[in-house]
Amino acid sequence: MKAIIIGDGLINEVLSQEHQYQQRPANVGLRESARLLGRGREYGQGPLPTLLRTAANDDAVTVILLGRPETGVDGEFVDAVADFVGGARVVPSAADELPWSELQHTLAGAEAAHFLVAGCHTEHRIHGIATMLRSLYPSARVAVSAHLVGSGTQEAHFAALRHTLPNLGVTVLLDAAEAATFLGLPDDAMAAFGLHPCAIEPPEARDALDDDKQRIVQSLCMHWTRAHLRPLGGGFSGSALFLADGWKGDARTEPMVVKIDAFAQMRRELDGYHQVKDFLGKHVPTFGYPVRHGDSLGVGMELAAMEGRPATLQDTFEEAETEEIAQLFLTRLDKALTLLADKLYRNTRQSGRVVPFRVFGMHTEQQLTWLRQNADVILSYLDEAGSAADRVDVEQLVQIVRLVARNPDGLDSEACVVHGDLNLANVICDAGDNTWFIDWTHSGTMPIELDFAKLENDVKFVMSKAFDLDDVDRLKKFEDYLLAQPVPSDADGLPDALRFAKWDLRFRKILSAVRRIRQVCFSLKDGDDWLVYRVGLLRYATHTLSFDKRRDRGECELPQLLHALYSVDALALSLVADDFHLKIRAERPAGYPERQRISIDEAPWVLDCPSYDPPYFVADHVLANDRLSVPDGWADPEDVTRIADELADRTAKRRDELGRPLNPRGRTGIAGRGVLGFWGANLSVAIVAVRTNPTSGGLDVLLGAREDGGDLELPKGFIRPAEEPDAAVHRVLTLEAGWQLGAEPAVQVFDGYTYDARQTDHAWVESRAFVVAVDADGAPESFAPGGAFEELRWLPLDAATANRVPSGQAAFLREAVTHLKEAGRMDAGTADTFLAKTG
Amino acid sequence: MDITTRTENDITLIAFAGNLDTNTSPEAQQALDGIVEAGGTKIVVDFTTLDYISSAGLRVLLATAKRLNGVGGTMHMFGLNDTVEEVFEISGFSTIFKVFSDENAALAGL
Repeated sequence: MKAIIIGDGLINEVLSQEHQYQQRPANVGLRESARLLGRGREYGQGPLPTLLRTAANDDAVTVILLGRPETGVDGEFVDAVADFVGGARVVPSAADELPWSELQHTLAGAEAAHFLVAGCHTEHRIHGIATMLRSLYPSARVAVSAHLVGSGTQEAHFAALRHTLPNLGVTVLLDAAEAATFLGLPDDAMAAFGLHPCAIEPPEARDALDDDKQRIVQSLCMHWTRAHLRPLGGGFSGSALFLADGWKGDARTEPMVVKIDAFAQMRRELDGYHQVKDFLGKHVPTFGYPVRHGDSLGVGMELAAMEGRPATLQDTFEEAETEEIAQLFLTRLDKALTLLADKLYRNTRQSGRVVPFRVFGMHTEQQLTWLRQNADVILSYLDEAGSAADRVDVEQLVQIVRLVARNPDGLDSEACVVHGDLNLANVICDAGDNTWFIDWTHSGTMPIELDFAKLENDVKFVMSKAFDLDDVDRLKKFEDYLLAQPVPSDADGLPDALRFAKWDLRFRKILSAVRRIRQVCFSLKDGDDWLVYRVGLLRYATHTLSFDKRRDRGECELPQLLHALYSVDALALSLVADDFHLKIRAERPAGYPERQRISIDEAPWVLDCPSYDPPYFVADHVLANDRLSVPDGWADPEDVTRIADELADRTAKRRDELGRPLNPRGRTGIAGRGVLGFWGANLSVAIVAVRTNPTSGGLDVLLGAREDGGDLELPKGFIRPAEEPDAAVHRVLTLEAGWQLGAEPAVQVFDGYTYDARQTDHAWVESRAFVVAVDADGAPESFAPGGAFEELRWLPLDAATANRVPSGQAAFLREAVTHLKEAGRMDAGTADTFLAKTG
Repeated sequence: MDITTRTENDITLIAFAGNLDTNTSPEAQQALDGIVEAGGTKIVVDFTTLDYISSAGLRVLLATAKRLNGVGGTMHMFGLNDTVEEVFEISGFSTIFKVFSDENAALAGL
């Protein structure tokens, strides 16, 4: 069914200016009643009677009046409307409550209905009715036409319509003709009432918006006749960010920043805004209520007390081709940095543990894949251009980044509420040097260095568009200099080799900005360590490599991309030689005490290290499974004198004073056995089970996933005392996968020490890796996990898979591939590719 | 520390004896810089007589590798004793540098 629901709650709910001191209800809806119904001689010709007359010709449309037509003044509007409809249903309704049961009774069985809410209402009343309809008839479509509801407070009413109703799933119709269309009525009669939605200009801005986004702009600017949109940066993330200039007729309105993004993204932006507005006050725009259409959410933001035309800091930077504007840019940058530092960062600052490579998301394989791909593309451009500019050894670079980024260690540093995506386009300035920060989608508590590193990155690579290929040698030198110390000197203090930067405004602009950014950043820190800052720079420079204009992924030309690549290369080398990296990794499984941190120089047992005093740790379940005391025990006794002879037989390069073997890889920061059962080497088997994929014909490898997520792993298990490795392979595969191997041979491809986070000074893991290659029909499709895994499955035996297993096990896969190639089971080309792409 | 160098065709072999640590790293750096500045792009480092390498020594090697990278050069190493190999392993430098079992293998790889 289709219904027009008409009410007149407005009449006694709104107090007029004139009457509010008399504290009695007054009818302030007369003007609006007259507009809807038509005034004077036009009475009965207004939009509402016109709609009702059109509807009278359509049996499918029912008119429902909410009100008390029998009680005089309160029902005045409804009484009047009743004259224009024959056979309207009347649902008694009081001003202060909604007629839930009455309406439900009247509309019994109205599934899949279209409801149009019209008449005179307060905004609260409209919300109430719309919510009620949505609750009673969840599958119904509910709409409110902006031009068919009357209000005593028009602007407030518009606000309610455009902001809140769309979020309740209520469609706001922006034009009287749309209301007719909504009910399936001819719209020609209604078109006469004009009142078209706000026009979006210029055409290219409008065309760049899909229907949902256009609708959001029209809803946000419902009170304007025209909105002129000017894009503000971004554009590659799927969000739309505009400065909207508005007109009401010929009158110019205050501009508004409009942002539209995917619903979830925009929700984050709103969260971020509410998080920072208490600190930044007028330096963030004032957000209006958000409007939703489809999966998009939009919001209008006002720049309070703005003077003159606003411009982004990016505009100022790009225009800074003269000393004067360059100075203006630096003044504005300085003000922005000072505001953020004083109001936001310093106020929300907290000390804590920061795990830099993880917090910047550098530890994932995906980052390395992107790095390799983008660097290859950039170098191929260089070859195409026939340039003699320095190349970068991509494979070595990826190895180094992998090495440093896998460092799971943390350090004491500072975090605070940060912007999260601070770039020059997110800083708006005006003629009065007022400053606003926009786009708080990525805001949160993160390292204090994050925004500064992002800003430096953007200044150096993204914004600096004035360089060409002849400049890259100098850019490389310049970048090496910037990365050589925390705060670079000013232009006068540059070393001789960089004197060019003093006279070239393009370089000097960057130098001054970077110097200022870092000065402010480090003034917020307790120590003088800039490791976290450099990891941030690495993260953003790596990301910048993808902003490739040729591939339509950003605005960066080859010189900018190359500049960023040189920076990644220099940063990677600086980080791998950093003391932070040269400390031995502090990785430890849950339940372990914190390892004593030692440097590479303190690790070897041959060197004296008087300060070495690691915590001693043996897990309770190891102690409880003492094989000399418990029938099924699998662990050595804690008292090593009870197994002195056996211990002496175990191979060990070094032993401590009690005869306990010492970890061949040096000090680990923890004494005891941890969760490992044996003193010294704990022998393990790892199984590389391989089959021919029945569909692709390529080779698959069997991997398991643990319940707690993390890396994929090969089936593996410790060898029991006196157990043959072969037997262990069969036992482990039966336990872990429910797979009982037949006569397939298990070929050993690796035997030796394996890095394992469980290792201690007195216990470590040595692995034997076996390849078990089965025919397609000898391999089960599904498995019955009975051990460590929640699930096991076949994955292609390729580099991508190898990069998803722990590094120790990736080495087993490499050995397995070498064996399979030699045995003729894997073709040489595929094997070589695998070996080239793994490490 | 004893540093000896010899040149075979376009390859420069450099051997370090003793400890490559904070005290001796400036000397080692100077020797390696000298090779690169003289236009050497293929360097083989002989560690057969090296007893120990510290973080300072690692930095020297890294700085040289970086300089060589810029000019398309390569550096190979061989003859790591257990201690040095352990340091390479723990620091992860074994994945960055090209380490060979003996001199022939190191030369053959260039």
